[in-house]
Amino acid sequence: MTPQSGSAAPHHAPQEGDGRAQSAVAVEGPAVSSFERLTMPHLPVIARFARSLTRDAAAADDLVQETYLRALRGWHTFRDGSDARRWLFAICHHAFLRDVQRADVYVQPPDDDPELESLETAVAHWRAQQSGLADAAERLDLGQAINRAMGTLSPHYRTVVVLVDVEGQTYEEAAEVLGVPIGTVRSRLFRARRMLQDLLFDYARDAGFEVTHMPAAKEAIK
Amino acid sequence: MRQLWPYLDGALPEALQDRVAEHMTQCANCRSHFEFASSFLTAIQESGGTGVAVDVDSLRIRILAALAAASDGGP
Repeated sequence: MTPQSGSAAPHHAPQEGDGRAQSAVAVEGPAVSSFERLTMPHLPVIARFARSLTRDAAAADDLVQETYLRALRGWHTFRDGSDARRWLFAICHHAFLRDVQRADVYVQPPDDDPELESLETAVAHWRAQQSGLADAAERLDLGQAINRAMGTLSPHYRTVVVLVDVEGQTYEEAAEVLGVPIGTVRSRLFRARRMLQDLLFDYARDAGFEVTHMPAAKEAIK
Repeated sequence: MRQLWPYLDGALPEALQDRVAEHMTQCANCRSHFEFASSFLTAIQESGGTGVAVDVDSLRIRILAALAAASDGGP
């Protein structure tokens, strides 16, 4: 069941300027129990999301703690039947962005044409096929290569890939978590995928896989 | 190929999704792009988005302690 629009905006509940949710939380016994009952099962997923954002285990654990403390403070805004996992994603992402902005590393990426990104991805793949890199990329330890590549993406691109491709959120759900239009999700997601694909081909090239000549050239030589 | 990603995400209107699927059966070039992209997305999903393992048990203890301290009006 998806939360109604505007019904689960807990990241607005903690007071602005209060970067650390250390103030006392007026939530008592049964409410805390229901909070833990509904939110703690999502801890592994939120922890994984936090790691994908921060790329650092210690920073991720701090972010997870901050997420849960903010969620507890905003628990009174959570509507029964809403998607607790998505609510926690939104809080976590908002907390992360505040840290990034505070560190002055916030860069708003441009919104590219999603259809062009799809087309450029296919063109890049075609070129890689011609050079043999596509086959080489498929022989890579893809998991390791993708993890490396993800680490080079900026947070805005990495977040959307994690939400949609790892956590299975739809474009609409990711837009709700990120607080951006669906078109922005599409453009960032497709751009991120193309960047990851390009990186995979670079890794294949760097790994020294033999690159075949273009088939058309081989035929011409015969 | 402009619809490559939305098609793989199942995000196209049904009629267009069907048209693209039909095209894939007839065009070997597009089919190879689709197959590569599909494998690529599967690899991303299986990667979990990060190479850093999570010690969930320790983290759970820490979070519960923090929540308890916050509920008790701790510092």
